[in-house]
Amino acid sequence: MSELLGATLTEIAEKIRTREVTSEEVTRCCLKRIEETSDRNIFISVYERESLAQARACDLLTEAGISLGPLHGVPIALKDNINMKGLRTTAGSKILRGNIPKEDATVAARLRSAGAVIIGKTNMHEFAWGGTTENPHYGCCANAWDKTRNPAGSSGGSGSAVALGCCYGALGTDTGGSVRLPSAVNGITGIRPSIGRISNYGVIPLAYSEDTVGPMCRSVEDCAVMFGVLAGHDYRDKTTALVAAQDYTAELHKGVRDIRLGIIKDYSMLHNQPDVQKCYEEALEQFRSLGAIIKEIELPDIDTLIDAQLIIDAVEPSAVHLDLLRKRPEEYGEDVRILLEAGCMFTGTQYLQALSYRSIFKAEVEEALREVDAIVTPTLPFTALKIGQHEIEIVPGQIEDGLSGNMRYTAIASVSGKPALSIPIGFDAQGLPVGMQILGEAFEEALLFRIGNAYQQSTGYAKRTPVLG
Amino acid sequence: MDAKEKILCVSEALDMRMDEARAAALEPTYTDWMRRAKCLDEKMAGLSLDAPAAANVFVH
Repeated sequence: MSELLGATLTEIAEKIRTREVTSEEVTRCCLKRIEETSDRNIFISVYERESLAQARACDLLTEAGISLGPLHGVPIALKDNINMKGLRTTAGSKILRGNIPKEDATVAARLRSAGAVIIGKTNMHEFAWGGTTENPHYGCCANAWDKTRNPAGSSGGSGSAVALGCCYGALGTDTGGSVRLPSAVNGITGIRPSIGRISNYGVIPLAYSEDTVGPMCRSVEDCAVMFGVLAGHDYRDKTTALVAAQDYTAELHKGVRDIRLGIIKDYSMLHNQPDVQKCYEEALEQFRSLGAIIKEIELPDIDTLIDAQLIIDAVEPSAVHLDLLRKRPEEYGEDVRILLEAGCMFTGTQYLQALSYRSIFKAEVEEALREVDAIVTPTLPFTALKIGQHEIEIVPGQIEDGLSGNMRYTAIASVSGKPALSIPIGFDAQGLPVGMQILGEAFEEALLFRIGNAYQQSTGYAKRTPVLG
Repeated sequence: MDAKEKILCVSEALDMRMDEARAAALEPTYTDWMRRAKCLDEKMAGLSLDAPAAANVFVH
């Protein structure tokens, strides 16, 4: 990857600010990269004309000594379930192929206000209901490190786009893990925010009680910069909290001495692919060497976490889609149609039981977070799956479904509403990235960035980039 | 009533288009998910009536 494309968002923003490069030059590089990787189905829409016009406008402002903000002139991509005024937003579906929103989603508007150049809309799992981004309508998206593997999902296009240098940051959405999973398997950094931290206004919903929007970038610092642009109350989304946003970069360099990191007894260390386990243990050792304290914590009812997560994650999308399921079922991809139809089969009582479980589990997570500052797990128990592979054998002889297997660790944050950051922590024997999840108390994203940055500054995994092949 | 029959029954109640072929396609997912619901049911069954409320709000 060229030096320009391999730069981080923070580095390129600085180069644009000091006029070492122009935004137009950088945007053209990204557009060329998008063209070079077009066989990987990373983008659904590419805004060549619009992005170059934005870039030139940013350059004029730069020449006049004006900066719109920390993303001034930087090419950013959005997952295609995030509305942009006048530009189609498909949610990766055939049903919304002609959907032209009348206004920007709040997150899109905030990025634009901070000077971002929106370069295009990334491919995704249809309606965000799935974890592979094998999209039947817009093409199967490929993993950044191995074209025969999927980029996870549902924000797989955003994960691949950032890893391959098509943009310097991207937005994804995360319900059951859809920012963290593609971040992990594409070797980049991504964060699921606290529920209520970032507005969902103008984002096509999947599961109302779990949907979030999160940045995906090549470094923790970049994520913190984007997060600062996005976070904060939105009067148009009444689920956003009245908790003030902050400067998420202020604590980045404080290190982790005496920070307590929790590993979940009888859970985090079990049921991982051997290379994932190895990378996870090495990352824990690295944190110890940086002065962090590793401590075992318990989540007594974690054994039925995935059961509850799947019920919530199935019923809520089915409620969102029920009208369309009645009228236009054949327009859904088969895998999503099955999930939506099956989600309709749960009773109200079963759903309420899952919500009761949520209250109990959330309390257990909060109890644990009084003993430690953050809980650390692998982001998922395995590395990227082959395209078309929907089952996994982690424990020899035990075949499990990829969808539920994916969520073993990501469900902890999804069910409890807490924020969770995924950072790259190494590679398996086949050169596929491994991720670690760092989960904290609500609205403690700055601490998660601090912990993740300490690790990244002392290792080189985040700097490695895939080779196009 | 087997799984397919239950799928057809609920679909009719919800005015969803469903036939035997589609019910067969749904059956593996349905069966797995109902198994999971049963696991959760067993866990929650032991709770007393004054257990935490199932309020669907995130109170930070």
